[in-house]
Amino acid sequence: MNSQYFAQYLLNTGMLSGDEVKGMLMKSMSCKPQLPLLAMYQGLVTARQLMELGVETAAFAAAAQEKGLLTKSQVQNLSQAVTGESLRFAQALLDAGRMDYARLAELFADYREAPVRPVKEAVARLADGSLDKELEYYNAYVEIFMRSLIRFMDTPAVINVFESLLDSDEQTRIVSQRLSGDLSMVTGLFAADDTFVEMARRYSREDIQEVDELAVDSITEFLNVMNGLYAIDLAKRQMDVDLELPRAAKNQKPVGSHQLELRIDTGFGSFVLVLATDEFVLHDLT
Amino acid sequence: MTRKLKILISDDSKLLRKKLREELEKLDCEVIEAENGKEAVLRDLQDKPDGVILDIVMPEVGGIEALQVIKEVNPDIPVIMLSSAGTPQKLMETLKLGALDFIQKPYTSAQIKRAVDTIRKKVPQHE
Repeated sequence: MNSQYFAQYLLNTGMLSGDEVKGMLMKSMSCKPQLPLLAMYQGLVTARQLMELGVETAAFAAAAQEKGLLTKSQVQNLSQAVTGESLRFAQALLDAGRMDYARLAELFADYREAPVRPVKEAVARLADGSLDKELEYYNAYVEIFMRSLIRFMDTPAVINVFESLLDSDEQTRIVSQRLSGDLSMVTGLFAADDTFVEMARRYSREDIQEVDELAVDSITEFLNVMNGLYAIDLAKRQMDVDLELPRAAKNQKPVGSHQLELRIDTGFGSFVLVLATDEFVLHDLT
Repeated sequence: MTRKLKILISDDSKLLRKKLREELEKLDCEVIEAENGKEAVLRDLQDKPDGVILDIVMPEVGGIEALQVIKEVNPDIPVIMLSSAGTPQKLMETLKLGALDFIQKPYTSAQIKRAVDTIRKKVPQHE
């Protein structure tokens, strides 16, 4: 199972609402998956066995060994297991009482058997049949982007397939960069000022308090790095692209050809990833 | 006592220059900054750095053109490219023009240390 798209799967399938997912993403940022969940996830115990054991998390290891469900070395291995975003999210659901082990076990099983990757499904749903060959390129980009959010901004994230943010009445910023060559594509990040600042702070690890030159520069650099990673991915498919100079604007809405707008919900706020096949025309947000 | 290694960093990103300066100063280097390729060429002529770390996508004059000019003026100067556009094509193009190495953004501290070591080896009094 992919280590970070469980939340996206639950959102796509309507198991959780957009607001619930957003709340849980926030909670999951401080969650540590506990031994019972890890043991169930790895197939060492079933949900029924966990329910029957009926002990608090702290007493689980001793009780499970006493009942012969786990060996000492299995407990040690679980304690040292590297966990991903999906498990943190599942633990947040358990801690909030939103789901129990039995329900989670069912959902993990369904998720493992899902025919389409959740991010790809979300992109296809937002495109709603309006995109042709560019959909393949957008998909590849979005998967790289979503993976990178954890790495560079230390946040789990989902694509909110139900809402948009581009018509915000708040103060907003947009940064964008064009890729040209064997593929023409423009990528942009659009956010309200407070989210923009938080993104800048997380990416730069600097104490940024307002939308200043360093904040804009940080988000521009983040987008540039994303596009670089995508350019390398394209190079593996024998496609050569150049990255052009990034642009930044205030209170402007982007409009481009074959445009796709993805609202990204994170643990700290929401922003929009905008993709198009040619340079955005910027319109005043009034 | 050997003098500090003088490194010119050229990148249009203020954040990148700030972070890179911090890395290089930790490695006991003296740092000169340029915001674009044109300024990089001028600073190279004026300040005579021991080595250059160059971004590719920059306003006015890009990193590849700057690399060409810098190497024409001073063929022996070690130049390391540091860019997000680290495709095999860009790598080959810059190596052919005389760059010593290519670091893909985001860089690690270890990569910057290696770059400094590479520059140091090319500068006689720092060998």
